Amino acid sequence: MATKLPAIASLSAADVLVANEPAWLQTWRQAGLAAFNTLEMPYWRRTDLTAFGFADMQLSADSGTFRIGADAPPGVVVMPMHLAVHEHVTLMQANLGAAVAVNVSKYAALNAATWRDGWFVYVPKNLETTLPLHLIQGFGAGNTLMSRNLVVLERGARLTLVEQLMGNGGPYSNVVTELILGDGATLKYTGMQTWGSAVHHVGHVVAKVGNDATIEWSAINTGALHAHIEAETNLIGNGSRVDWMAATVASDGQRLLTAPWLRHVGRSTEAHMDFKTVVKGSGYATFDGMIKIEGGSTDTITRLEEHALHLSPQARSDSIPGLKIDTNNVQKAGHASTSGEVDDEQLFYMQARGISKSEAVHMIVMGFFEPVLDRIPLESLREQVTAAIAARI
Amino acid sequence: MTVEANELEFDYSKYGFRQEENYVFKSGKGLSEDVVRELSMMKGEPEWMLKRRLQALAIFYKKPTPLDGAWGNPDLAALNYDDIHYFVRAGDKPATDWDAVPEEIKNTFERLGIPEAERKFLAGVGAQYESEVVYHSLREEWSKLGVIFLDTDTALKEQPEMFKQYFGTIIPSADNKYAALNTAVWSGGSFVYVPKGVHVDIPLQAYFRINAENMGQFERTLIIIDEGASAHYIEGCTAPQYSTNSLHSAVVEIVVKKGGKFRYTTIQNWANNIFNLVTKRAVAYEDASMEWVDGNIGSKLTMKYPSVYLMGRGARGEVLSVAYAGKGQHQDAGAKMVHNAPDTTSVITNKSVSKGGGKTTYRGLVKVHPGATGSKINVNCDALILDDKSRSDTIPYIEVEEANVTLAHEATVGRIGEEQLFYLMSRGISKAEALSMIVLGFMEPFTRELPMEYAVELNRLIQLEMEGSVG
Repeated sequence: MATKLPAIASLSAADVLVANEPAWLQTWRQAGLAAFNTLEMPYWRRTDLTAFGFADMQLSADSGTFRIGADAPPGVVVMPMHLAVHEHVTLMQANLGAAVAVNVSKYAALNAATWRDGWFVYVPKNLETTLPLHLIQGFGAGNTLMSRNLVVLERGARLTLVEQLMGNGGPYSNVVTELILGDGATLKYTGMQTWGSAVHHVGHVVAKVGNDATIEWSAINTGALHAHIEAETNLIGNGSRVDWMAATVASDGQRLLTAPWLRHVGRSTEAHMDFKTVVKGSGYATFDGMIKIEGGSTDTITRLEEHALHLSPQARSDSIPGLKIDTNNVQKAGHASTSGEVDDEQLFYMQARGISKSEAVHMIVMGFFEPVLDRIPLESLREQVTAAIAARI
Repeated sequence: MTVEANELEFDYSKYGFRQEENYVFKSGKGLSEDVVRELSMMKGEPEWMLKRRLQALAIFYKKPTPLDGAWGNPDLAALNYDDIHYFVRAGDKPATDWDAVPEEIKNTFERLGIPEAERKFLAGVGAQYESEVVYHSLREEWSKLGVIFLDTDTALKEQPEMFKQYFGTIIPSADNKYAALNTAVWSGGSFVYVPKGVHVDIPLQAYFRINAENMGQFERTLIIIDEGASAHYIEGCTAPQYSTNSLHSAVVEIVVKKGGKFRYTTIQNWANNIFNLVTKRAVAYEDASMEWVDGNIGSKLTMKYPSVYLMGRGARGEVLSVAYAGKGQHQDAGAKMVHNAPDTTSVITNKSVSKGGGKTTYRGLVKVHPGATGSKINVNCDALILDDKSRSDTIPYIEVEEANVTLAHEATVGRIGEEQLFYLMSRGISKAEALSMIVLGFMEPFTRELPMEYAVELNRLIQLEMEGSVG
């Protein structure tokens, strides 16, 4: 049995110290602990984690497993965080916590205080790579995963990255990923939550996007028993863009919540969001989104599409596509949301052509997800995920 | 065009005058159990109502203030419950005919145009001056048909059984803080009963007014549309301008029975210092139809989400609303549709305009419970932001627990296009007029559902609001 920290509710300053860490990081962790002890537990109407006794839980001292699924593209720095905090001090101090501050939420504070390891990725100025980088993390049964990841793209850099959470660990994972895009940088990011069915997952994934930088974000959210993911894109730079797609499948017993926040801060920013959800059996998925256009953000274009397909009468989907608009200088802003079952006419059309009903449903659902699955950059991974989703429908 | 616009110029002073106060009874400022007891005693109410009021008061004290001012939510911190009169009565008892209405009150109505409406419609006019309805007339044939249209206080005395059967069943005291407050101190409002199969063709109208400074107005309306019956009820609100905040917190409960049809139209134009915190809810049974037509133009802050609970197969609910928020105003309005039965339909159409630093929020809920198969829901929200000081939020909640559902939600937020303005101005229309034409066009799906004289008044108000918007 791996060693454990004391119960979460009684963590002391000494408990969160990690051997041989630099002094600046020790100070940073203490700030995280202080925030954790001060902040209230958030009230979540749609995610209930009380079932597994959060306060009494003991975090694993063990860091979990981290591996690279494909060769790292040349020139890109890829290393475990526990090494990067020694080798890239300036970058770390400038960027750690820049997108997810230690005190942004109770769970983020816990992560800041107790993270064990994670991935550090750094793409130097003007380095453009097309070779996809595939980073995988996991943990064992009876364990927890406290992971912190930092991805920094300098000015004009270009990277294709897949970050995957995979395996039958449990009961609890808390993963923070910060994506920092310098001016003119381009990041194609695929975030995959494919945990086994025993995991309670809380995630923060936050991108800060510089002038004329672009993030193409694809989120796959099919694993875990309960997942609560707060994802955020901050279009801070002028002319920054996000093209954001997501696929969520919640089947029996699963409660999966995605809370994507999109903040338009810079001028002439553009965003397209296309979120798709399938619920089945007693699955329950929530889209709790918000698009915020700040007062100084002019000539904004923003569009959200959000669709939920119900494959069984017991399944539930909630959608809260919020808009907060503090300027009138908007080029275009709007959202559309639909919920319902597979279109009868489409089914009829396919059945009339000799396709069985279950096969037709299957084809329609896979077609529904195709745009986002198509964006998974590694062919083998794309086939694997497609097959896994297909098997569940 | 210019000449016409000037002719239509709206005499806004008629919304800003005040009458000498000459009240029969006026409770001291502030809220307490004693105030509630005194109020109930003055009205000569039965014991059960006093009990209900006191229970509700306890709930009001316990309930937290909704939302919290964070994230641009409405800020209710400026509301001081101790600085409000909870009961004022003008005239000893409700007047039955026009001649009996006090001269002073008549003057007020004169300036509001009520005699106009009276002449035009010869309809049932329940005009609320201060906290009680003081004038009622009901067309004779309605009485013959068995239609009951009373002020709510009188209804409690004259229709005790029906009153007790329905009161507080649609909106229980514990529903929210302001429903509890209303239940504790309610006064006035309308009571309507339309018997089975009776169709009331001419709208039932009620005017509501606030006059005394810091006076809360807590009208309570209860409407029962029996099987196969139909009616249309209209309320319009105006209020004089005062310097300190006043509170209006109404509760409106509606039951539409099997096959019944009902429309409730509101033009809310309270003065810009009034908190308007209203709970409106209807239940619609099998094949019944309930429509809320809801315009929010005035008030400092409005929080109002008319709702329809669709309880029987084939029931239909609709909310058609507009909100206008000018300087210092926040219109936090929306709709709730709760589908509890198969083959139910709901439509929500919301249009909002913010200007001069005003803020509009669409906040809504669509809930489909398990078993409400074949439900169809359509939600459309469009917001227009006229300048860079103004804001708009859209917060729709959609909760679907049934597969066989067709739900579509669409929202847009925008500004007036330079091309549109240019097009109109190139045809010799001034910029102010062009702006007001575009805004009126934007609101047209709402205005065309109003009775003619209301549409005219609303258009005048909007034109007036648009004046001085250039420049």
